[in-house]
Amino acid sequence: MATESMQELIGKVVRRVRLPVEAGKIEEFARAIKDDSPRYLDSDAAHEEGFSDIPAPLTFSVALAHHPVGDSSARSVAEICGLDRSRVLHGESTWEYHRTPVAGGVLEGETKIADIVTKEGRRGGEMILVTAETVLKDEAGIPVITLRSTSIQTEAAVSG
Amino acid sequence: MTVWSTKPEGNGSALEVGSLGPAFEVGPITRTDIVRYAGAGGDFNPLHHDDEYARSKGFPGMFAMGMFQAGLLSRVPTDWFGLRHVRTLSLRFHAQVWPGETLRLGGTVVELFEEDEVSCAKASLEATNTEGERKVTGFVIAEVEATH
Repeated sequence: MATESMQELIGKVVRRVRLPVEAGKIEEFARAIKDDSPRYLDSDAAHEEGFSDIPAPLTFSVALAHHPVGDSSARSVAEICGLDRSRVLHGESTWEYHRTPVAGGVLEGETKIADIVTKEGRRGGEMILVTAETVLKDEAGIPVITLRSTSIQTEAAVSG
Repeated sequence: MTVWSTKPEGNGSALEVGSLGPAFEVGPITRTDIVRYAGAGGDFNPLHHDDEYARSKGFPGMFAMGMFQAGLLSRVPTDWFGLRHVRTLSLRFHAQVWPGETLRLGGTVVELFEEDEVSCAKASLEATNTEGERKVTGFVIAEVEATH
């Protein structure tokens, strides 16, 4: 996609997202990030920490990638914007927590493109930075986590 | 004089500018670790599990997705301040993490402040490898206790 037409995506909703918050998935995720805290494994331990059920780890929201809405192929924001995922790197991510999500609910939201910026890379080629924002809300429509993420398509690899 | 500390759900430590958070060393990171995380987190970009594909795209081989080391690093603010007390987590990715590397994870208090009558700490966070190469930096803002 040409960068001029990419600019038209700024301010637009590019995908809907869905994140079931489930105890089994939290356990799997906690093991994958090597956090053996009992709060992620056992609801009694979660209750002892004051949670109504097993809480989600801080970065658990990434698992929304498992649940594409309205599209049979899971695509990242970068791919939706037409970037080449073989040269897209993760620039930064920010999470604002309005409360801690716990197992038993489903969070939903929309991803909006906040900004698209082109920069000249060190080798004179073009880098494209896409920043997207998603507000994950609970069944009552109340925001639970606000996500903000920047992906960077690097210059094309120098050949030879 | 105000005495700052984490809330009880954190690690109970006293806080002042410069206080260090819990430190972890994780590694050597294996391809299996990265694949396990791919399954847990849902990122099936072949750069992160297919050595041949990664090489065809100009990389030395497969490497971890940024969110893997973000997840590892997130244990620092979680254990330090208590999961429920973390308000903001912000991370920037500087360099790929490769199979075989060992990561050092930690944080340092940079500011203690009151906002809308809530006592908060801001701490820098960092993941480096054992050579000191910065992989991830960022910060956390968490609710803490201040006794006046």
